[in-house]
Amino acid sequence: MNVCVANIHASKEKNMKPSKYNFFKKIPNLSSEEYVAYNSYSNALAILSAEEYIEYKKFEENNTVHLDEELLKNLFKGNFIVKDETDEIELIRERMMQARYNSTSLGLTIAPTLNCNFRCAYCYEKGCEKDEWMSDTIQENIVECVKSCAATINNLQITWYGGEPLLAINIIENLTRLFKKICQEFNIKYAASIVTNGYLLDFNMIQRLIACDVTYCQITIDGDREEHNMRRPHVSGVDTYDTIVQNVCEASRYFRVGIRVNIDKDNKDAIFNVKNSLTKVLTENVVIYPAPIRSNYDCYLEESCFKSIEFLEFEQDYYTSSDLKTIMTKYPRQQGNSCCADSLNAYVINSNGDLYKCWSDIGRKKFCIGNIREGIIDRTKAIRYSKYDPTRDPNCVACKFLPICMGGCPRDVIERPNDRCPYFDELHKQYMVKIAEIMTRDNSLN
Amino acid sequence: MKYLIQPTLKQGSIGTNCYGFKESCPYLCLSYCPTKAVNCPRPLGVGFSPTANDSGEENNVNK
Repeated sequence: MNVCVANIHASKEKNMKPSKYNFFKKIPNLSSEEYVAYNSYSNALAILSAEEYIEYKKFEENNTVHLDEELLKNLFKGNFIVKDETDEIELIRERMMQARYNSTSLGLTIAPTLNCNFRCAYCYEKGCEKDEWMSDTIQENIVECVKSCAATINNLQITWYGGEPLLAINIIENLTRLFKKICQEFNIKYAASIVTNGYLLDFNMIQRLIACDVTYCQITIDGDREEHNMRRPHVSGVDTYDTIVQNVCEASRYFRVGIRVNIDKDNKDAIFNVKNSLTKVLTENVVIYPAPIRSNYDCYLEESCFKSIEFLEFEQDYYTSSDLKTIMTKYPRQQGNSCCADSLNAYVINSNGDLYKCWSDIGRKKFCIGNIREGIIDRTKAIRYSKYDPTRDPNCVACKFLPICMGGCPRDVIERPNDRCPYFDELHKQYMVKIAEIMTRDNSLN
Repeated sequence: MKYLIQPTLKQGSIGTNCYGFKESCPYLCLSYCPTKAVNCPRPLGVGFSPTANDSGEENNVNK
């Protein structure tokens, strides 16, 4: 059931106050003076004329100042002004609780094998690779688990993960067939995506994934041919770049593809190299984006990795010179919770049936919360990532990004509490201005 | 005042206004489609669900 949180109307401003979550920035390079307005609670983006902006600023300083009725209505609609009695933190907390404890969706990240045909320099699963495949019994256990939830869920979302999941395509096919049967019987929406290195994703494999209802693929390309081959070699030592690029081109004809470019301080140009060499051969279904390499579990040299703020500054050049489709990936989304780690109804399942809460933990017994046969065994580990409440963290409560950040990666909250903020005020405003500029220009062309 | 991206104050409206996916959108993104210029607010899509980890840039695993 949809719940309308703000099913009220603004009539007069005397009982109103400015939201805590407003961002304003003057749009440069325009003949007329205009401001971009963004509210992180409603996630709305608007343009204000100079007169409207001045009028709002007067209200911000003194909320007894009269606002034009149309402007008042519009500001209220986007949560730029709220009723006096509104406690925005309480509303954010309620949204968080709803998302964290939502039991109408089941999200499973399944690794049919931890075996991998690559040996990437920075792999955080180093040492966890095993020539182990999900047994028929474990598969049956997973299906039983889904069946037991079927009567209460509306959505089943599967992410195929690994190791390299395409090494176990038969298992993916078998589980998909059984999941879809349950979904059909209980009228559940089914969605699937895959994280793959792309090496085995040839035409035949693409058709098999389409049959498995996979609609999104994450594939990593780490720079130009030479760079990529060095960082992401095949286990046999052969080069992988040309095969992957060929496969990505084919795959992008059938489903959405996110090309992830893993970046550290030594390959800063990689994102531009990938963009320049691939943009012309890829379809509209592809988004290319940089991602920072992490040194989780000492898998990589910490000094080679960007700090959060360094990475935000690095990616600025890429996004501000991109088209709308690419820069829209920087448009925030409202966050209830962060990910499967802090969500009640989401699990990561290893090939041996072990359960985890975070993708990064897979294969590490220390973080195993139970197994698919017996369910959750260690409740303390199970709540490791969900016991943190950003709406009670003084730093987050004071932060204007809270509704779109919610404290950041739950694992970072524990492992790197002082290097976890994914937003930076001035950069965020720049992105909002850039998006507003492109959208205004595109609208005027239509 | 002119909205470029409409405010989202409803929760749990699964893709009802989503231009690209329309009613079939399985993602609990809590967002409306901001623009017809792109399919959804975050074209990477997978990260929309609060029950799934992001397969987007916020996914913190070196894959």
